[in-house]
Amino acid sequence: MLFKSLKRFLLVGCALLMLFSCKKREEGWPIDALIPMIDSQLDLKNIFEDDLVQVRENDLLHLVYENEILDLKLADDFTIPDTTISQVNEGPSFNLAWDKANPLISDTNESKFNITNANLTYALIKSGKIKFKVTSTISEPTIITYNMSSAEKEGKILLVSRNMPAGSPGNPAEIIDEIDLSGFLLNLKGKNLNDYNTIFYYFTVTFANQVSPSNLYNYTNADVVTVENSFVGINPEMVKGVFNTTTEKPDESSSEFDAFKQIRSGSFDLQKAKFSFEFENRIGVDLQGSVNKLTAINSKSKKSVDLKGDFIFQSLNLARAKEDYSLYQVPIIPSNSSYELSEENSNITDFIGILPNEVQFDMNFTINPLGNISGGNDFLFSDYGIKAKLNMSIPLNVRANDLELIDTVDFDLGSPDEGAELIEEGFVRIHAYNHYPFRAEIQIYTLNKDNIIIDSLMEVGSEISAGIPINKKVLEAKYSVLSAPVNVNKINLLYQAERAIVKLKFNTDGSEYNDLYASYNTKIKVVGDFKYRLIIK
Amino acid sequence: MRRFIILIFIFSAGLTKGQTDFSILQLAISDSSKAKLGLWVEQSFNSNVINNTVVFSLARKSGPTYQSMQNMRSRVQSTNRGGYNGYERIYYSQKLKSKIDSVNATGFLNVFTHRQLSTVFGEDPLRLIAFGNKDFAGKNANLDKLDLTLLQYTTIQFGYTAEKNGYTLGLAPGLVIGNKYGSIKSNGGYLYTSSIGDSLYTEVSGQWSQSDTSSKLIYDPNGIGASIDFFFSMPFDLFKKNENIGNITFEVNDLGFIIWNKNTLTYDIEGEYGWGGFKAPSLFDLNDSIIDLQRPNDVQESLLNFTNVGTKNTFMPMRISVRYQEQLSDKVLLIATLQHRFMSQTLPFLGLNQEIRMNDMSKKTGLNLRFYESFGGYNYLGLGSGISVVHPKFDVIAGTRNLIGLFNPEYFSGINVHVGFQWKFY
Repeated sequence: MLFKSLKRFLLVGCALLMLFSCKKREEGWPIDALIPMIDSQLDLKNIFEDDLVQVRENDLLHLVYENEILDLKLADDFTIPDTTISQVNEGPSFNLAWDKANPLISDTNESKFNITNANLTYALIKSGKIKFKVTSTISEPTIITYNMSSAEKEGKILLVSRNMPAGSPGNPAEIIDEIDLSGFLLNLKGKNLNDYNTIFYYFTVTFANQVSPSNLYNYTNADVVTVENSFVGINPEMVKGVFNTTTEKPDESSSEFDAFKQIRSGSFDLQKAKFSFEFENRIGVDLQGSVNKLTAINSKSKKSVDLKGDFIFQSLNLARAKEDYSLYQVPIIPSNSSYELSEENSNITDFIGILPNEVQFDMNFTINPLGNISGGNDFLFSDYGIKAKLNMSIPLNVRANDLELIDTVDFDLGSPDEGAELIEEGFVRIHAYNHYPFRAEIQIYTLNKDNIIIDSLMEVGSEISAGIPINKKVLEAKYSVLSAPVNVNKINLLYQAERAIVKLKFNTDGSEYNDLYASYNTKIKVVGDFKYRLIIK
Repeated sequence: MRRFIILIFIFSAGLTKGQTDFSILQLAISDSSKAKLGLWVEQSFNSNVINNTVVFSLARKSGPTYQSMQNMRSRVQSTNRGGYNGYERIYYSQKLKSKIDSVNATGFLNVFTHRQLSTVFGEDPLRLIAFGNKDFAGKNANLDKLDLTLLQYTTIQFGYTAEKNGYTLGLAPGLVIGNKYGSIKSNGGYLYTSSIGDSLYTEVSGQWSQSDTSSKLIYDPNGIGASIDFFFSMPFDLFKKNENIGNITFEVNDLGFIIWNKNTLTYDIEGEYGWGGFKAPSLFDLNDSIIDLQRPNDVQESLLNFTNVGTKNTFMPMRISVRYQEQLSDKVLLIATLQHRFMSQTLPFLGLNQEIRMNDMSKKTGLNLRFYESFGGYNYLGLGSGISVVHPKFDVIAGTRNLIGLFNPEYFSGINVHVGFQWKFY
């Protein structure tokens, strides 16, 4: 490889140098070289996630952030518990010549689920099974049939038949099987459609062969058919009925707030901020919510601010969601409620000014605070509940306080044995073009291959000038040039470096707030102004 | 005409310089000896811009100092030249019997190697290479004037000279073995350095040829060719006030060609390249692959297009000369040479050589001081001196054709060392 690291782009710059090479002359000679080293553009927008910064009217930047701090689902409160129902069907106490053309057993079973928080009339089953076990001592083969007309799927009721071999009192026949209830809509109103939380089904036993060996069966008290049904793991996708008045408190009490996670150091003061506390109710019940406490926490700076204002402890009425089965997927029309917070009705600018990374909250919700006013039409889809969002829109009209912005770039001059000695002396010159109306302390750190800082190029306190606003907007970037001498030690460290960090620390002079516009940025160009020993191989 | 030539000689003598090539006329035997065997070694470098300190430093591999390089600034011109010439020569001359008694005939075998590095370059390329791109901040460095040739060949000549009544004719065909060849020519281009040095951009165009790169030894044969030298010398009396008659010689050397072998490489230099420093495409989207893309490893690939590997024919750097020689007195010999060597990036060259006998003429061995003055070539002026010893059985010459650069190497150019020895047989 003819070109390597610094030598390489020197040779780019001096294309003829390589053309001049016919004899190997490792001794070289010193030249005054201007060498482009780093081209970096730092943009305050980059300290936020890309989708957080929006350009609004007049090119002004807004920080727009939607943070879901709560997703409360109540499905666990309305689950159908595992339930087992057993029934023993004994033969007559006297011998009976039974016409085999008639069912031997025909029975209706009805049972009630123990559901405490609601009187459910319907449940659409997401998953779950009926496990059944039937034992029979009837001495001829029979057919047992389940008919659960209260369970329907795709227009068909649940109907299951099984062949039962002949049994005897000493050796009863047995069938163990299960039925998948997934996708079945259970009518929980009971046999007479006036109950709740109740399931019913028909169970029949008929003879498999009604004429052989005879058309009559000697039915005695030794003929016993035992049925054991278990409803196991029933998870409803949707339940409907009457939900009792209860108060729900979320298990969670905090949420990550990552709008400022990329700000490594420093802060900014805000003049204005607009927040909305938004609730989305996708449950078919009336809700009454209350935010008892909302605290912004910056775990790095150990600062916290409690939100103050009318919003706290205010009863927040959230209307019920509605069902609409004309919708494509989820037949829910959510109910949305929002509460606006601004610097006028709260301390929201202080709240957000600490650049929180976490929000802690204390809130609760009362279901159907006025009781059953829906006529049994409360509903709940298991995957949907109550969401609370803390949305903010901040016009970036700020004052910077040691606000840090960094950029990392590759800085590979090559390994020291490739020519650290080639740079005899010189300067690293920083050419800065700053739009921001903040002065900025600049430092460039060099890092070795293990990403450990090994040197800093600039003198402590080196600053680039602030852009000068005209009518509150900086139209032309302010140019600054800074120089840092490099000596032999620094050159050796430069050659060890594999990356560089360009760090700007912005500060506002005075008390004025400055608008930030989309066109603002700070360009940093690092140029080596070296006495460089040119070696041509 | 004669006055004009005298005027030129006098003018040249006053200017000083010394850079003359060997002449095959010297291989003719004009005295009573029957044969002679000689060696000639000459190494020289000269330039109108590159000072001697820089050359010495590079030769010592110590590297010139920053100040030495800066001392060249005042000498940089729109056209800058530099050249190195090295010769190693061994010859044997034998007086031949002639069918015509009045004709003195000499046959000779002359084997020599000529090594030449010659270059011409404009002001910008020189400033760029010698002083760096800082001088060009905010402007283009034009790279359109650059020509550099490295050439080494070895010639085996069989020659014949015949003299009658002071008229001498010589002819020497030769077999040429090409040892090394390299050539770089710029068709144009520039390097732009931004005003603050944050970006570089270059466009270049040209050719680059190189003989077989697998050959390592300096005398490896990498080409074959043929050449011919010839001369004609006749009496010419320029200075009438003495009783001696001089002679004037017209000579052509190295008229020939070399066919470099099939492993000769030719590249087109054509392309553009820009560099603005390492960039971070996104604050949080930095990875090694992005960095690798930025590394300027492909500069060479961007500018060099391999075009051919195969034989290449080149003409040899032919030299033409007019040489005048006259014994001005018993003790003073004047030799004046006007010459030009083509394809060597050199200006026409005018050299004077005075040989002054220091001891008594009655002595068997003559001890002479030699003075060299010149104008042209790779430089403008030159002054040198040497000695020669003339003995009936041998001749010795040693000297330098350039002293100015030795006395003030920081500001002037010119290095020359030559040594010659020949045995004479009777």
